[in-house]
This record gives sequence, C-alpha cells and structure tokens, in this order.
Amino acid sequence: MRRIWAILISVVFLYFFLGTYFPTLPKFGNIDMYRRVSFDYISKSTTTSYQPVEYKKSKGLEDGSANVVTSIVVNYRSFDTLGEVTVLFAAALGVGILANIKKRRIEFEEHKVLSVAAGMIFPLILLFGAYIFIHGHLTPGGGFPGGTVIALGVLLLMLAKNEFKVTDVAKHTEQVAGSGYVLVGLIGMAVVGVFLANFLPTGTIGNLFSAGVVPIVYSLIGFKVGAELSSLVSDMREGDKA
Amino acid sequence: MIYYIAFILFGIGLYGIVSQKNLFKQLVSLTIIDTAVNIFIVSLGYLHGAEAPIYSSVTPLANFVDPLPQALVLTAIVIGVGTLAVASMLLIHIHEEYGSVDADEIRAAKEVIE
Amino acid sequence: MIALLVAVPLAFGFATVAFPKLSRYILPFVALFNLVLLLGFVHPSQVTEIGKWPAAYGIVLVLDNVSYPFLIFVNLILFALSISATYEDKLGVLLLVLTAALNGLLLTGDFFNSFVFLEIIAAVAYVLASQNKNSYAAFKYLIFGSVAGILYLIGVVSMYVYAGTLNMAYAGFVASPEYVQVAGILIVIALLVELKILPLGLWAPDVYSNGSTVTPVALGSAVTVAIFYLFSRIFFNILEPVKPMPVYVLSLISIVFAQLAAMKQKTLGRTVAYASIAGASTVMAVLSSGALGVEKIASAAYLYLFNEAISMFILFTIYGYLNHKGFKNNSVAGIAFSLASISLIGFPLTAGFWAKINLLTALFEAGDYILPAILLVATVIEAGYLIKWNVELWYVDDDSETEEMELPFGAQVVVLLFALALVIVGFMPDLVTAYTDKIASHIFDFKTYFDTIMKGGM
Repeated sequence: MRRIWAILISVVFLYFFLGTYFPTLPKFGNIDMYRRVSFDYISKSTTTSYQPVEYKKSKGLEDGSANVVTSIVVNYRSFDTLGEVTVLFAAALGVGILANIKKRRIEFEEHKVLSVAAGMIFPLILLFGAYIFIHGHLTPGGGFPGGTVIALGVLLLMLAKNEFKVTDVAKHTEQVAGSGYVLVGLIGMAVVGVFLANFLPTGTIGNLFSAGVVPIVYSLIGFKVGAELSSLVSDMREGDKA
Repeated sequence: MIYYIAFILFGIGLYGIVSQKNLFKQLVSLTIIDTAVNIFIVSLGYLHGAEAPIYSSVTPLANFVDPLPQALVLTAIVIGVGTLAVASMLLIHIHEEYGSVDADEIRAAKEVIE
Repeated sequence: MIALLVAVPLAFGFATVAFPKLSRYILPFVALFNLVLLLGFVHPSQVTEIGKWPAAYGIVLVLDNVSYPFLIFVNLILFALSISATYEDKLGVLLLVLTAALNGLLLTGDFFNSFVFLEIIAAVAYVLASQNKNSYAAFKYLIFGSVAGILYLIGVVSMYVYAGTLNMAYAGFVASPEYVQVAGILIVIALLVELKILPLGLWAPDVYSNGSTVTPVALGSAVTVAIFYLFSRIFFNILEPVKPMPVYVLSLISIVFAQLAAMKQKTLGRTVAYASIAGASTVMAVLSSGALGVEKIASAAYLYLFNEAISMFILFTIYGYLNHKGFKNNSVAGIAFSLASISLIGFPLTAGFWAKINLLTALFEAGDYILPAILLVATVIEAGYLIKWNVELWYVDDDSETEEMELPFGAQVVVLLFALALVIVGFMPDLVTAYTDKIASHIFDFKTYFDTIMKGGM
C-alpha cells in the first residue's frame, strides 16, 4: 500500500517536472551569458564599464580574486555566506543541545597501526586544510572545504585514541571567528558606509596578497567551520546529562 | 541529458522517503534528493567549450561557464550538511527512547507508553 | 542602518555561545533595541545595498510600507516571548539567531537570500520542535521541511534562469509571465508546507503539542506571520498571481478538516494546534480567493492574522505552563485564556469580531459565497470546542492539590497585556486597521516597489 502511494507521488512529480518544467529551460550548454549578471561578475565590471581582465596584469579592480566563484560568495553576495555560516552554527548548536539529554559514550577499539599513523598524518591534514582556505581566492575550495578537512583531522585523532576529548577551545574558536565575521561587516559599515563592504585595497589578480577582505573572511570561516564540525562529532559521540 | 538524470534521481529519492519505514533509510533518501538537485543547479550554468571560472596561467583571459549557480550550490550543500547533522542526532535520540528506528515499532511503543 | 536589525542579534548570538547563561538576559535587550530602532530611527521606503553593489548585482534590503508594520509586529512578539517563556540556557542563543533570521526574511529583496533565511529558520525550528522529548515529531517535521526547502530552491534557481538576476524586483520585471507560473507553483508548494495547510501540514499537531512554552509560540505566531509576509510579497507584489484555484480549494478543505479534528482531540495542546492550523488555512484561503486585487479583502485578512497570532500566543503560553491544571488558583491565566478564546470565536467587543465582520462583508461585496459559508460553519464548530474547554478548565475538581503550578510573573504580565490589547482593539479597531489598510494598498503596487529599488539606497 505504501509502495503504491510512493510510486504514485513520484510519478506525479516526475510528470510535472519533465512535462511542464523542462520546456521552459534553455538547452543544456546553450545559455545566453550576456543576459545574466554573471557576465559582469566575470569581468568584474558591476560598477565600472566593461574592460577585459587578464591574469597577473590587471590591478586595482573592484574585486581582486582570481577565483570568480569566491568573489561572488564572499564579495558580491557576502550576506548569503553570513546566512550559510549561521545555518551551520544553528545546526551545531542544536546537536549540542540535543546531546546533553542523556549520558552516552561510544567506545572505539584501539588499533596500533591507526594510533601510530594518526600522529604522523595529523599535521599534514591540518596543513592541507589551512592551504585550502588561505588560497581560497586563487584555487578552488575556500573556507568550507578547508574547515571540513581540519575537522576530519580531529575525527582521525578521536578514532585513534579513545580518551581524546574536544575541549572548550573549539567553543571559544567558534565564538571568536563568528563574531569576527560580523565585526568585519560592521567595520565595513563604519569605513565605507554600508554593511559588509570591502575596505582593503584589492591588488593584482593572482597574487597571494590581493582581493581585499576576502582572504581574511575565508580564514575566519575556515576556523569556524573546523571548530564547529569537530565539536559536532564530539557531541554525537559522548554527551553528559546537563 | 543530465537534466533527466538529475530528476530521475529526485524521483528515486522521493519514492524512498514515502515508501520506507526505517527512518534512517528516509534520511538517506533525503540526501539523494539533495544531491540530485545540486547536480541539476550546477548543470544549469554550463556553456559548451568553456572552462572553469578561475583566472590562472592556463586561462589568463575569460572564457568561463556561469559561476553563479556554483556559488548557490556551495551554500545549498552546506545547508544540506547542517540538516543531516540535526537529523542524525534526532535519530540517536529516537533510538535511545523507543529502542528502534522503525516507524511501525515506534508507533507500537508509543501506544504502550500511553 | 537597517542592516543593524540583522547584524546586532547575530553578533550577540555568535558572541554568547561560550557563555550561554548570558544569552537569556541579552535576548530581551536585543529585541527592545530592534523595536526602538524601528520606531525611532528608520522610516519607510529605504533601500540598503549590501556591500555597495548596485541593485541587480548585489543584495538589497528593502524597508517599505509593507514590511515596516510586519517588522514591528514580529519584533513585538519576540520581545514578549523573551519575557514570558521559560527555557534552558542554550536555547537563548538559538532564539537570538531566530530573531536575526526573521528580521532578515522580512527585509530582504533577493530570492536566494530569502531561501537562506528560510533555511536558518527551519534549522532553528527543528531543534525547537524536539524539546520535551519530542524527537519523533521533530524528525517528521524535518523530512517535510527539508523537501519543501529543496522545492523552494528549485523555484528560486528557475527565476534566475528566466530573468538573469536574483533580485526580486528586477526578476519580476524581466521574466516572461508563462515561465514565471512554473516557478510560482514550486514556491507556493514549499510555502504551504511551512504554513501548515493540511495535508502538507500533518507535522504540526505533534510538534505544537509538546508542552514547551517556547516552541508553539515561536513557530506558530512569529514564523507564521513572517511567512505570510513572504507569500504576500512574492505573489501579490512581484509575480503575477499563479492560478489560485487549487490553493483556494486546498485551503477550504483544510479549514473543514482542521476544525473537525480539533473537536475530537483529548488534550488541550493538540486542540489548540488544530485550531492554529485552521486559522492559518483561513488566512490562506482568503488571500488566494478568486477576488484577488481587492484591497478590503487583503486588509481584513491581515487583521485576522493579527488576531490569530496574539490569541495563539496567549493560548499556547498558558497551556505550556498549566497543562490541564484548573484556573481556580490561577485567575489571571483563566481570564486571559477566556478572553483569547472569545476573540478567536469572534464575539463582539474583541478584535476577532472586527476581523470576521470585515472579512465577511468584503467577501460578500466581491461576490464570493462559498468561503463565508465555510467560515461561519467553522466558527460554530470552534465556538463549540473552545467553550467546552473553557468550562472544563474553570470548573475542574482538584483532587491532587500537591503540585501548585502557576505562571511566573513575566508570563502573567505579558499574557494579561495581550488579552487587554485584544479587547482594546475590539473597541477601537482603527488602531490596527490603519496599518493593515496601508499594507493592503501598497502590496498590489509593483511600480512603487520597483521605483524604490531603482532609485537606490542610502
């Protein structure tokens, strides 16, 4: 009976999507870039007139990151990223609230190979995660994957040693990094006049020290996401009755 | 075409949510729906013959696909992860309270409690 | 300046995560700061472009004559909630985040931004729904709410594909109407799930009846009002109305089923939850009736929403604290409860009376006869079970005098003031109808909205 309902609902939805929805979409691979705002995001000309941008040659543009997706996420639509950081924050906090209702602890078996290897690999994982979010404006990645890699390193330590505890350092890191992001926005409000405006010089495209506030914001996001995911995993594993 | 693949995955996920009784399988179907929609959104920005939207020594001049759907999907993936975390914690609680994560057994256990 | 309405609660929320005890005391001050900022320092028709990017490229926050009354109302509810509710320490941080997200949802002028704020509200709502060992209901809510959020996301991205920009005003201007209908269907299904219209709102009775004093008030009053604002903004102001007939029929069926189900419930919490579903379905039925574009109908619908939100606040708060204990020792709670029930039914001299009368006259003038008939039948059923519950709670025989439950002082003050407000509005309905008329006259006016955004902001 359930399966019949399920097949019926799926077929109705698929019929709607494939029949009514698809004809309104452009054909795959044939989009008209000139009609979309992305054209001005790519050539970084939302407030100025069109000028082609070249790697390592253009300087002093309105937004200096070589990675166009980063410039959208952190510069043009930074408010959305603030919201996304808040969703993760609310989820991690929710897990923290839910974890402290019953006393629970999940034990792991210790393996000699894992304990030895974790000690050697952990600094490399941290280094890799930091590389990802520091170079967020030059290479794919950014704060969110970088923070996740750092949290994976902490998870590895947790699996290797049974007595490993994620202490309050994670909570304080999360607090400082999160308030730091809103503070950067408020400083932008004080300096330029509008919330979350870019107030540092943008430099040459392709250099490490370029793109204004973007590396700072992505580093803060990297720390925040790493701390949040570490405390989330630790809360799922053991909880104290509050 | 990739639009069809994305929506067939969506249909499979929807079938899973409605027909499965085990709550964890419903959660996995929800993740399948998330992934299908993310694939669909990224494919809305593809342009034949264009490269990934990063200025580098390989592509010093712009010939890029649409970067905005990729930025939207970044946000959507993180939101999906947050929801998955809260749902997993709720499942741990349900298991501790009722002893199983099967919808029929939970209903039976609830009637015993009342 | 209006970005401070979102930035300040968010900053305090992030800053107090390591000291959760502080958040419970900071929350009333933040809500008060928001109210003072709204009433004293900002005036309608302002636009802020975040980051100083022009309107179609960046995100804009719009404060105009439609969002201003809604903002004041929602912040008032949150301020009252912070005084009257009892909750554990860490929830205070989540309530600060909820304040920021609700303000952001009411201010935003960008489609994807509204999706992000909807998801923040949803994440907080899942955690709030699981209070008092209610994890199974919260899980069902999570499944419904996540699928709704994903449908909303597909709708938003389709608007980008049709219009080339994500800004609400520009997208409404540029996109061609027959494409927009398809995106509208997706968006409206997602909003119907959040607004508890049956059968998409089956999660609501279990979630609202968990007996906490925070959950049903925050979700049933504040969030519902904000999402009705979003619905009005998208479908009356920006997009051409999607074929309203299916939504209208669904809402009518939902009213009937919800009132019938409310009669048969045995606990007060589930009864009030079904009454809340019926109220939301009524407002949705009115807003989607075939007589769209008539300002008197929209104004009456918003007055009804005001009445619903305040009455549900009172009823759920009292249920959360007293939980079937009688009113013999709690006369303050009893008076407020009875006044709220009377206002819901629509007896004269309360706000509910003016709401229903205005609604019925406006609908009759527009030539719609089905909805008023169903509304009258629903009122009779509602009067039946509410009076029954009132009698039962006033004249309960207290065998077990052991547990003395009573409302804390803050809750008593808030509940009494709200009940008094309902009576005052019943005597002088112009206090609220001035605002609802202003909303109704501006909500159908796309040209004013577009000009406000084109002129740019501070």
